Amino acid sequence: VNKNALREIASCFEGAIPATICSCAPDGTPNITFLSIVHMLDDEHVGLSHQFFNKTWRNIMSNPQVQVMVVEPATGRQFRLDLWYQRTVDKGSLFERMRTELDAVASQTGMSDRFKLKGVDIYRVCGCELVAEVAISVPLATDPAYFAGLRAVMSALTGCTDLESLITTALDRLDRDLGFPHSHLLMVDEPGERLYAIASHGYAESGAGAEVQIGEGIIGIAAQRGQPVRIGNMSRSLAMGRAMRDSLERAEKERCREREIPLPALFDVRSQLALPLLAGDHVIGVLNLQSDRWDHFGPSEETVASAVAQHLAAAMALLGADSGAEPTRAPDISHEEEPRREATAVVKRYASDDSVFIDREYLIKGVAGRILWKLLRDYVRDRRREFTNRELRLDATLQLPDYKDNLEARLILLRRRLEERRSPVRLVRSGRGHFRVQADKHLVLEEIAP
Amino acid sequence: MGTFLADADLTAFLQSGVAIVVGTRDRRLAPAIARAWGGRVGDDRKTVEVFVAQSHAGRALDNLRENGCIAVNFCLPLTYRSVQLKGRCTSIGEVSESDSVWIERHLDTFVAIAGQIGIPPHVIRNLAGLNFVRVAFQVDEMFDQTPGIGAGKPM
Repeated sequence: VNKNALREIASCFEGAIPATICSCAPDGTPNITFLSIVHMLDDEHVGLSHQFFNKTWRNIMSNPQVQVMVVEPATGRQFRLDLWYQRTVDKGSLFERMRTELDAVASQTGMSDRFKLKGVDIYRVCGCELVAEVAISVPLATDPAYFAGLRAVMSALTGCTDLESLITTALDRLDRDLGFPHSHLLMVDEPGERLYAIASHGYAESGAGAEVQIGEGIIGIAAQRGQPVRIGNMSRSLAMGRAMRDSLERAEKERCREREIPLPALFDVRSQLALPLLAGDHVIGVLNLQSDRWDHFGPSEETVASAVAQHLAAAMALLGADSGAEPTRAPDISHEEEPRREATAVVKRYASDDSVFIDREYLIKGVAGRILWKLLRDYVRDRRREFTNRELRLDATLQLPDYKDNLEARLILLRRRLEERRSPVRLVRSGRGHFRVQADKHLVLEEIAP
Repeated sequence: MGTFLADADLTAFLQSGVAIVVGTRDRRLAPAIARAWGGRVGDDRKTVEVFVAQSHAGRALDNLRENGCIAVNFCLPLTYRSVQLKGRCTSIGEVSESDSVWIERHLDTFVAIAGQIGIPPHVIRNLAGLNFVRVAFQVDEMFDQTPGIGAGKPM
């Protein structure tokens, strides 16, 4: 096979259009089936995932020659690859990469733990033949000028001196300079069980406070493995996953959604790229990009978005490390006499999960719920208005972790969540490391014991 | 063997907007693939016809003429429901005018379905090819090929 043959058709190996594999039994009976993805390993080898010990598997054990047909997604050109089975691997980086992809799709459709990758079959490519020149040719989109865009994003981020402007700028610039209009930013919570959304861009709602289990779905898998997850054709992958799920009994019941904030999503999401934010060797969050365009995220998009994610993670770590420079001075505790307010808002806190409801509407739970409750308690009981990040950090009752970025991230999500719910309570930044609590209504606090 | 009889549900599925691929092999048991269009169940409900473009057929039609061994997979992209039929090619013939209409109807349906999962029409049209022949085969075995735990089970 020509040395560049596979590289020239690299887009065939993105999994956008299903490939087909034909094997043959020793008695001469062919077997033909669809394949989710063919991975190009080098100039002479491809890898096929196998999750089941099926007919193809049995055939190649006695007759190692197979033919695979792949499709170039932009043109519809087809190629026949004549392959010779060599061996199966069940560990190593290639295996891990494919496992991550499959698990992400399985998990997105609630199929985790049921369809595990058994192995990656390695084949030598003996022939690569174009089926036919295409009848209809359309002008191909050229690679967008990502380098100039990347430089613009990087310079904008360098100018950010606090976490909030850093994340807002990052998501905004991903849209403006790189053409990724829909994004989420999620941070890992302290026990490392969940991610919570602190910002999003390109959706009607911010979804601030939405939670994703680590290891669940495309975002959760990216966080768990510390690897990017890129899905070229969501609808196809999800249809595949649904078909798998339908083959089993559906025992899952609708979860109670009362105390959950949904992560906003595109109605017609077609491709998705989830990138872990790595500080040293641990994952601090996930940058998730969605697109209504089919196959929007190819290898160059992954490269450029990864560079932004890495820069963002480093900048976050730097800001976190710098939080020691926050003002230590306790703010003037103004025991202001409030003007008497007519309207009343009832704030309830359920101690069992630290969830806070304002006028019976769910607002937030967990660590952010604890922070809000402390602020409102001090607001009502001590008539305090000004608070510093530092005092919250030192407050043992909040049980904050030592990882420094998290408090700031929680405050951002809290601020956004309050704004989005048009809550009578607001948190307003009043300077570096301190902020002010404002309320439009007279607050009545009620604590519900577990 | 010889017990295959397509029921109404299967016939409707095979004749819907499915992707169709044909598997063949040569005398050295080297496999060869061709895409097919316009699946149609015969009046006897035991034979099935598909249409293969000579421009895109590669070695597949030669293999069928030589040994007749054929496997055909029908898959609906929206649900991934897949059925594989295996059997023996009984004839390869020219297409009639009504066959051409039938092929075109299937292509139109498939373009619409592929559009729903984001594949543009020109891509599908390019998959199809030119100068079709009619490939008829007798079905000996049928397998549920829908991905999942039941994949590959005889039906």
